[in-house]
Amino acid sequence: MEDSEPASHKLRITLVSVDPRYAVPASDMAVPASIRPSGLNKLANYLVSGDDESGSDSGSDDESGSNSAKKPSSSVAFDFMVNNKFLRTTLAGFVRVHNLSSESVITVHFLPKLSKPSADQTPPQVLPDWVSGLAVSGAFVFSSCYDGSVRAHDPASLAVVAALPCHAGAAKTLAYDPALSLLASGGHDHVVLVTSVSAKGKLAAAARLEADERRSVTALAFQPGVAGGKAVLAAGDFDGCLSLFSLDPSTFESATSSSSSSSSKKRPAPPPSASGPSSSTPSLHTSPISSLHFSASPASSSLLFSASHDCSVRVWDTATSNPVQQLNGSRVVSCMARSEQNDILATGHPDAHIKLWDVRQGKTAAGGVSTADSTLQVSHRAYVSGVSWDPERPHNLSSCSYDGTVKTWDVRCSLPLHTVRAQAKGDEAKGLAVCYGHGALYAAGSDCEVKRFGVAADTN
Amino acid sequence: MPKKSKPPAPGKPSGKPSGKPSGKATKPPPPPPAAPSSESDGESDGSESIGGPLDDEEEESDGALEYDSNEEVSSGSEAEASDDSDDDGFEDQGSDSDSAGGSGSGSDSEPELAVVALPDSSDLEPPRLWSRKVSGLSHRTAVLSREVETTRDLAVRGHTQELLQVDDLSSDDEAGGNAIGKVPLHWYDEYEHLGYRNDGSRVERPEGGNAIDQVLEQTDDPNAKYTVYDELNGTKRVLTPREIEIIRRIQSGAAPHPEHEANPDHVSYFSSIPEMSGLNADRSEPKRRFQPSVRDKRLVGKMLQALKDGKIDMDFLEGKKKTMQPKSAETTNDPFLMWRGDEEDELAARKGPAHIAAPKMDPPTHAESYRPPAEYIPTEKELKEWEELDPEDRPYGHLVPKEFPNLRSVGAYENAVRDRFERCLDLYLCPRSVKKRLNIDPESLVPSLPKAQDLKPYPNARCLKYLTPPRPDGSRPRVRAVTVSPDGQWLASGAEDGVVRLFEVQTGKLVRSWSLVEFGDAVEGEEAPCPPVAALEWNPQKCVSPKADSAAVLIHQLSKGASQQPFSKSKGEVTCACFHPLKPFLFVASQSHVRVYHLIKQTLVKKLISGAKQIVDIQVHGSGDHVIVGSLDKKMSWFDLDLGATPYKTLKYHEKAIRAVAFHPRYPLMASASDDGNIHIFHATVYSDLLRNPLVVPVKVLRGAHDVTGRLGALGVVFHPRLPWCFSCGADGQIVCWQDV
Repeated sequence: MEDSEPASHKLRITLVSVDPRYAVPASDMAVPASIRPSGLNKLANYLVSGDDESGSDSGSDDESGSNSAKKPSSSVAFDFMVNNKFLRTTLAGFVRVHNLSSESVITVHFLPKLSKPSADQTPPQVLPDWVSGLAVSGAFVFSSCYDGSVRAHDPASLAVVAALPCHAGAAKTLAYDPALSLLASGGHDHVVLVTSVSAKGKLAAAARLEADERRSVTALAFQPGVAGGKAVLAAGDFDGCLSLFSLDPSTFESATSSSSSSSSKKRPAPPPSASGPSSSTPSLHTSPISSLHFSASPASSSLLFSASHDCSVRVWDTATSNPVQQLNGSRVVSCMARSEQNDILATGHPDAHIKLWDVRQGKTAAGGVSTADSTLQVSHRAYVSGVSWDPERPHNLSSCSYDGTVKTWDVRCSLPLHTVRAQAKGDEAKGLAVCYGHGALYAAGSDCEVKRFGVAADTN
Repeated sequence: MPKKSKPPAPGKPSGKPSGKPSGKATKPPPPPPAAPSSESDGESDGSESIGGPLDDEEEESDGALEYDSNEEVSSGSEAEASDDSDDDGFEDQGSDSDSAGGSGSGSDSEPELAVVALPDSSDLEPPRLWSRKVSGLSHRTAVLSREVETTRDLAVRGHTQELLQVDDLSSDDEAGGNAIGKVPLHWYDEYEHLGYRNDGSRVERPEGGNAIDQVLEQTDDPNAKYTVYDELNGTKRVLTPREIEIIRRIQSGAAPHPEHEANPDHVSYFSSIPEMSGLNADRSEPKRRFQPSVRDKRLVGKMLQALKDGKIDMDFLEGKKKTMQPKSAETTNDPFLMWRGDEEDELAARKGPAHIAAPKMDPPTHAESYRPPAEYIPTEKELKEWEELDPEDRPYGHLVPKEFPNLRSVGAYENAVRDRFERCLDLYLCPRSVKKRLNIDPESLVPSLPKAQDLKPYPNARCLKYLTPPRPDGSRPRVRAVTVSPDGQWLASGAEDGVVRLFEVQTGKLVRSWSLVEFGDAVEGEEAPCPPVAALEWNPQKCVSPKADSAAVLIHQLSKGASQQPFSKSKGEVTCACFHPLKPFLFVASQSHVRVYHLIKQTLVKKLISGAKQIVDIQVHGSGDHVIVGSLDKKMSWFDLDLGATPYKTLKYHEKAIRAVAFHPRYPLMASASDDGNIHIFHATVYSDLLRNPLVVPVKVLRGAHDVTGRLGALGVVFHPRLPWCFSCGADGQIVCWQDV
């Protein structure tokens, strides 16, 4: 064997496509050990295109059609995975680092590379103050602003459809309930304002909720899948207290009618129904709650995940008002996102870290993303202020930071996939919120703009 | 029948010596006194002409006293005594010393059951000591006197049935009595006579009647009770009342003589009372009593001389030596050790400065070989280096190792004389001194502090910047004070342009700003058109604003909206002030002192002396027992209020003046900001155990925290109320949040 000579050292691999459109015949092939993803990319492209030519008649019809459509655009950029890990170095280096056997056939999965999020060319509308939070509904993108107002944007053009100045201080956080089309906002003025969103995008103040403690509201979350036409809203405040509100839309019909007339920029009359919290825990955390999320799975929709500045992530069962789990970290948690497919939590930290938390009781959920060996390396330069999971791709998330960049990540890779600049360079440019929706990525920050980045699954 | 009984010896009239030593004169033996026994030891004969009247007198009284004491202790020691006598039996008729010892030892307390016969003066035989067992009544020691001996022919009645056989030669002189001497009487049992008198006539055996006759005779005779039978002479004899009295006294243990006075009157021969009349009563004191004693003078002179000569030593003072004169000096011609005292140990023991031994010569090495190994031969470079060195420091002194082809070609060593001369100098003339070299590992002098890694968390990385809007010319106003709200949500900064700005801590968003310019004089400061905000305090209850005017402290009660002036006259220029976190104390810092006032009692509790020249900031630890003080002379002083008025620790790490100090309210952290633009973070643990000193460890220097502009660097530092973060502001107009990573 010529194994002794490193130059001629070869590894046997099998290329398997994750995406059925680029399926290649399963066959072992020997590649040089020093092959890089770029070399593999050429190989895969060759295989895909060769397959296309040779097996167009044998392959499925619709796939061949799409492939032929791609064909003029020459090659497709692929990402390669071995053992659910992205290949970023030479194949030999990967094998050595991960203690794989170089004798056996290595199965290499490949999938089309996610393209870099592309900023829209149209300049977005400049809002009067910093944008602190984002939320997405089926038809709109909502933003909360430091001037105390909540705005609905058109998802494509980001033009302001409606604005409702609802807070005396800055509005800091937003939550949207798709079932009842309710938007909740909280801010420095210690109140939670529930706004009903009409199909046309009109915002109408529906309820004004006040917690017992007069503290800034820092986090809001609607419980999904609440039956009976009601909504359950969890609000966390700066003191670490959690308040749960049970909302009945039938009770604030009058409020919507009254405030719909005054949907101008003027400060609205306070909504009549100022309901107190249905339940309130004295202190869930000892420090400000930075983020709240209910569990996405219908079976355990009463589970509430909370992240706080006291460095912990806690799981709370709102049905029984019992703490379920407490995960202690060593850093302040500044933001948190919950994956739609499985309740994996991603948290951002002031020391530029992004961490993944698996809070599920049973360790395996079918088809879930394994995070046991996933660590995201530090890539941001500053305080991570927002993270968001891609609802369409369970492995992907994005983050924004005070360094003004938005990074997209795949949890199978410890380095970010792409970095785009959302805010101009400088001390003043801080990204404050990031949100997926409508096949795009929305980011907002201290430049008083909401920006849209198109996320394409495919390449051109 | 002539009685051969000797008239009772006159003995001694009490206290009076018997004038002549007569053979019959016997000493009345006091029951068991020590004195008589010793006397009998000293003089083998019983005559006591030598003993002075005084001795006798004392003996008598002693004996009497002893008797009394014997009476008292008798019952207790009876058994012992009886045992003694049992064992001894006749065997005890022994030596003189024995009897003396016996009587002597018994003199003190033992009740002797022995009847001792003291020998006659002419009797050289050892006295016979006869012990008998006495059961019942008579327990007393008795010493038979001569009188009793003479009545030995009497049968002792009652329980004393046995008779002491005393070989009394003196009885031979007795006229008319049986003169057979001291022979057993049963020798004459088979004869009809009992013995012979001096004149050779027989002593007839009395005709013995039967027992009935004797009984009858006894009943008839009124004196039968006091009649004893003299076996030697074969006669009956009626005891005289005196003899009966003697026997009674002996039996009762008292001195046998009725004349004996047990308790004589005390005559004090030597009294302290001066004699008012008499021979020497009016004699004047002799002259010599008033003159210095010639003998003493001589003695003192002698001792002075001895002191001068050094002859008085401890041996003399302790009395081991009688004379002060030393033994006569060795005038002999014995050989002596000429170099005595030159040995090293004796030199070391010598008085005076410590002896320093001469340095030893180094043993020869390979370098002195005629063909040294190659490594000893210097290269040209080494030679040059050697020449530059001092000869003392050169590796082989004056010698330069050289290689010779053979020993024959080795020449004379050119420096031999020089080397010897220097060695001689070293031995004889060179003053030497002991070089004290400390073999201390420098590492061991460094206090063992925990590693900074183990003391996390502490702020060590930049997290956020809070931007004050720049002036029209692009520069930012100096931020002189910064403070954080107690919940950690807001940050307020006071800038030199007279504007207080409120930031959101989390995002750095400038939320509000208030210009204090219109308040004018209410804001302290210079004559600038925009008075700078010099101090900010975020305190919901009380607020202190020192330096409101020159040297004045005002306490503002925010709840009432009232101000009070606690001091009518302040000492020195007050630079800053703060409250105790728990107690009603007010700390007021003047230029070099910190005064602690009790606000309720209105007294000065303590005065802390920092030793600094210009205090600029003061902070009280959350426990209230520790104060740190920062001063313009680069020093930060830590005061433990329990320890005293001087700093427990003074930390001098900064290169320029300290502008602000801070304690973390929750974490054991301490920070100082300085004009060199750096911020030093210290770990400062205060133990609740009073015995342990606070642990202060520098953990982090935030270098270049602020740019130095106009010789001012970091102007303020404050900790986050909950997180291990800190905020600093500086002359470059920036406010920075520092986080732990």
